[in-house]
Amino acid sequence: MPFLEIDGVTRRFLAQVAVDGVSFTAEKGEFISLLGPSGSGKTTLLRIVAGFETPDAGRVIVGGDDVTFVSAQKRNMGMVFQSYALFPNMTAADNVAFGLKTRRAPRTEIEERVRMLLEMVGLEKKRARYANQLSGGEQQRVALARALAPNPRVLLLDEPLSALDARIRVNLRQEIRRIQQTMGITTLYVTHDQEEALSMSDRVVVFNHGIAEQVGTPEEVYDYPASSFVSDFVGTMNHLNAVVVDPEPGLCRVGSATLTVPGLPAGVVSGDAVTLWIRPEGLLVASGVKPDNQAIPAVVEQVIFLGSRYGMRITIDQKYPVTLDIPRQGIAVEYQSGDPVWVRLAAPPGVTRVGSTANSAP
Amino acid sequence: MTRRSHRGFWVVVFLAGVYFLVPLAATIQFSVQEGPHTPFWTAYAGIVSNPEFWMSLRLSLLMAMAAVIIGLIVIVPAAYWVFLRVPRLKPWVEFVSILPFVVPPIVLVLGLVRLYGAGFGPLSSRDTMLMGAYGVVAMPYLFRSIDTGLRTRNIKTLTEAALGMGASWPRVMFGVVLPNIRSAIMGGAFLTFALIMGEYAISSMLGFNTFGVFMLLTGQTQAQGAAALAVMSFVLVWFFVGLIQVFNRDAVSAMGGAR
Repeated sequence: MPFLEIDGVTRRFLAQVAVDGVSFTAEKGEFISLLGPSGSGKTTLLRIVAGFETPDAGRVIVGGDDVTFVSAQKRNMGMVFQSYALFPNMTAADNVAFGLKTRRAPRTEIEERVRMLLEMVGLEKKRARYANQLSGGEQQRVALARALAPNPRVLLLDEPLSALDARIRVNLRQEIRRIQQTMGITTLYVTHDQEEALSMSDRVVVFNHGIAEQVGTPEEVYDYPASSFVSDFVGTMNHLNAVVVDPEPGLCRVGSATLTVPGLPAGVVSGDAVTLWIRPEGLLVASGVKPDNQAIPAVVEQVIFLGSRYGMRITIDQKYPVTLDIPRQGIAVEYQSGDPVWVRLAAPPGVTRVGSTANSAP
Repeated sequence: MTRRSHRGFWVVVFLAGVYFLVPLAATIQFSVQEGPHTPFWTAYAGIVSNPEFWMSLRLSLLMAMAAVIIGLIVIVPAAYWVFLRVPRLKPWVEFVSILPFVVPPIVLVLGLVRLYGAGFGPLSSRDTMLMGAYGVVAMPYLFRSIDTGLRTRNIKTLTEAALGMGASWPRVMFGVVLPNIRSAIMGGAFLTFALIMGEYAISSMLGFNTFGVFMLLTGQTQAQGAAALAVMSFVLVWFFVGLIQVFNRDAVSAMGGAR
């Protein structure tokens, strides 16, 4: 039986539906990211789980108890806010102790737990500092310790890293994951940063317009996106239109070339339009003579240096723009815009949809 | 900034200084201008030795304190609740809170006397009426400064953080909200206090001899006494303004340095 159950939760604000019939479950100790653009309903859902909002329909079940209409005070959830929300009138240690004091824990126990948690987030030495004497990253560590102090049933994090700069964000990301795994606490993590969601989570829920468009492991969401929105929001996706020539060996015409595409959807017949969803790293590029009959002629539009790799924009048959990645491997890239190149599939596309996408139909 | 605009700045400062300081200096000078055989503090001594002065000062202090307390008891929870739970009502609450600016004191007093004049037991006593009227006068000042405090200190999220950790409402209020808007409350309270110390219209219409009324009566009978009183009330107001500063600085240092 799942530990946390979100069952058909809907929340409307006047005419607008912020969360629209969202359902998913989380096992005990699982780390689940709620990923989506701003205004997609992910924060509203988190606030419903925390008890700061009441859903118009649906249920929130924690450990078998229906807590949908239980007040925030009685839910025992640990919440970390984007704005840290440390109490400015208290020291770091007092902030961490707050939840324990409201539960009237014995003084020695409070002392011990505050020390343990501040040590865990690496701030035992700064326990007497006030919030404004700590950096943003330190404040968020205290906020995390504070949320964990009363042993909450579920840890809720609302874009906790979005106010921090890039380097601290990456460090703290790993640290949050480490602490979460050490404590084995079920966690919901709201973010609009796909890299954050993919790198931290056991599973990801992708939100769009209040709907959970896909629930899956980071690999599933990345390799087999359930919708066009997911494919574009998580990473970059090329939508390559093709026409089925012969479904049996998987022959498809892409522009002027004919390729073998494994894994065509069942039931397609010759002449059907399909769209191949291919990640930038799923394409290979070569120059010179045509390597084999699987190569598609294309022209380089732009080469962008991205540190560990080059990003390349090319155009197939002078019409269909495609993005691909070339790892650097110690050599300078020899392509320049205007160069003729050959493109071929490095791996079968994760998704092949029947029907063509507008804009880039061959 | 160019040298030229610097000069313009100092000219304005100088003119403003002259405008404010010359009358003050003249008042001080006049209050200590005595005949050759009288000590310069005679006017001050006259005021201080007048029992009416102490009675009126005491009355005004009590009334000002009562107004601040009534105002805080009504306004703090109201402003907090509107801010937290029904923000769409805020324009209405704001409107009600500035009514005391719009309704002239005479209308306020006549309304109070007509409505509560008789038959309401303790509410019908003149003292209660004056306290009530002052409580109403305090509203706009308290509401505005408390509302600013609530907005600037991120009180909504702090409240949610506290509730999420199981804190009861009294604990949220006294442990989190009040300490964090303390300087806003103090600011509004001292402003109200200073204002009511000099209030004349309401108290005189209700027949009280408050500090404001005493000042006016003195001004009608003794010219130098009035000047001395004016200087003393200035000092009193500055004292309160200084107190605001001290409290604000304490509040800031209690939270660890400048913000």
